Amino acid sequence: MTINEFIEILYKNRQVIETLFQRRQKSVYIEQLLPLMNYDNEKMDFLVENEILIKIGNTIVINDIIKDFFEKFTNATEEINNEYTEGLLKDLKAKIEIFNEQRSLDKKDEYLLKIKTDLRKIGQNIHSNVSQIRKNIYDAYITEKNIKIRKIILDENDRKAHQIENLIHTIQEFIKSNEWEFFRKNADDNTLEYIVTNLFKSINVAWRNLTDIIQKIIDFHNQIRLQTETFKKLQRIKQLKDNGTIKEYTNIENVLLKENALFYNEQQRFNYNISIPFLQSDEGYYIIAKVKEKIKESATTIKPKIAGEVSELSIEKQQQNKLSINLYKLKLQFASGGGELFNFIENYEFEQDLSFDEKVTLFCKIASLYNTEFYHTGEYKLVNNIEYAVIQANK
Amino acid sequence: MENTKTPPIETQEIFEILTKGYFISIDSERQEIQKLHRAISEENNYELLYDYFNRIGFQLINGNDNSFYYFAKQDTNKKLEDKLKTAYKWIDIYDFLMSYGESINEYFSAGKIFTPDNIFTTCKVNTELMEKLNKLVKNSSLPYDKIIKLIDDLVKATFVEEYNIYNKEYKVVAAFGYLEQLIKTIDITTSDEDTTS
Repeated sequence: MTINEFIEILYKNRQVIETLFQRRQKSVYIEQLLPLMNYDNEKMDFLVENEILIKIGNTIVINDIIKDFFEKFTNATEEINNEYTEGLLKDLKAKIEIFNEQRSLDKKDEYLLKIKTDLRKIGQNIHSNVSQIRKNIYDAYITEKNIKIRKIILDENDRKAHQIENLIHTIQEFIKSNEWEFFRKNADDNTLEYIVTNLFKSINVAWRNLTDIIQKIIDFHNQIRLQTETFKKLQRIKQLKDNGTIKEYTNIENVLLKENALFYNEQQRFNYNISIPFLQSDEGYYIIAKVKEKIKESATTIKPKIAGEVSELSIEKQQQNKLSINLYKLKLQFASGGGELFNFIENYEFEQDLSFDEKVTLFCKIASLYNTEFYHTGEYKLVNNIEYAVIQANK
Repeated sequence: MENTKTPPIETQEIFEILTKGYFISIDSERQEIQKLHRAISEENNYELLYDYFNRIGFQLINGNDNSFYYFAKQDTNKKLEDKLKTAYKWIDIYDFLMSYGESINEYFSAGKIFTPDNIFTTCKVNTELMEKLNKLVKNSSLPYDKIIKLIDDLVKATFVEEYNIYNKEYKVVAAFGYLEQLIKTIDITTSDEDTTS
């Protein structure tokens, strides 16, 4: 695309571009733009294809590059730097010289006007540059968390602030110079005086702002330095703590002896009795009722008692000794089989081998448990030095 | 005129919060705390409350030029050893957080908003930090859980507040400056730069 074509496209679509530029902070929908283009979808596609407009979903924005260009151009704020100051002064001097030398009144007026416009612009420029720096610094401090980037932004703006200072000095000197004095008298123009007074006002405001800004920059730098120092100190303290030499090499014990912040204490507890007048009030009654309810609740709920820990040893033992013999089943078998209970148990084939003693225990258990169902003959017999009663299933 | 002034209506709430060992921060996200901070910092209320609490044995301390308030108690019978233990714990935590800040080129202080994920991600690529974390919280197993435990401690101490629970964001509040103050008041007597033996 040639410059010519590009300007032509911009010109043809100036309405759309103007609308988009005005609404650059808001989102604009395609449907809202189409009326401006006589509902020509192809035209819209053409602009999007050539990246003059950018489509985001169903909204349209103007290309950032074009937007920036317009913004810069229409605001016409120039960045103040040393070149700007030098150029400005040279330019002013040249114009003044031409004014002084010029004989034609028309030409003289033309140059006077140019000089006045330039001077007015300086005031505006200083003002917007100072505001910009202030904004940059606060932005850096509030939104930029990265310390390294922060430092760079601070340094950059510090440099800019000093360049503005430089411009102010240059202008102040120039206004004091004989050259200017001669021109002023020569021009003898009321508006020029007015513009210069205004310029001085702007310079005064800017000066106060700059002093404040530079102080802020120094503060912020100091803050960064202190932060770095605190971090280093912390690391040393931590190191001493980890080495166990902190009491020896620091005054931490003294510091803590004097430091009584409750932060180091457990919560403060205050025990007090409830006043009797309060308990007699309605509110007090309500609380008493509530407490009573609670006591009731806790009385009815049985709190499970927690047993002590069971050692592994006893679990093993239990497993070894556990006899799972169904006494009822055994009794039924005995009752159906008949005979003598002791012999029955002695000859019964249990799943595990039972010792004689265990069998005797079993005999006693069954005999006592089902005492009423069996018949005791009244006889006693002797086995292994144990005397036992002769018990039969039934009479 | 000031002599006739009575303490603000929030006095009881202030007392209850501060006797728990909590801080009242200027930049708290919690409205009730904001209200209490305003009540203390308004007009001559600080002086008034200082006198008032002082008579019942509590000193209302103003930290970092009204940034946060806390209580101190003269006759506390807290043993020095216990205080040291608490201080050591917080030195470790402070060191961990500051080291985290250092590794992302930021100064970890009031106003900082972070998520457990932020810290976790940095720990994963920074072994030194991960080691610090492991030493800091010994109980739980996963590093992420340790970070959560750490943040819990910070929230309990009112150094950090929940900022956005949906994004799990937390905010460091002014009271965190207390730790910085502590570090600043400790003087190192040895000139020996490297004390590792």
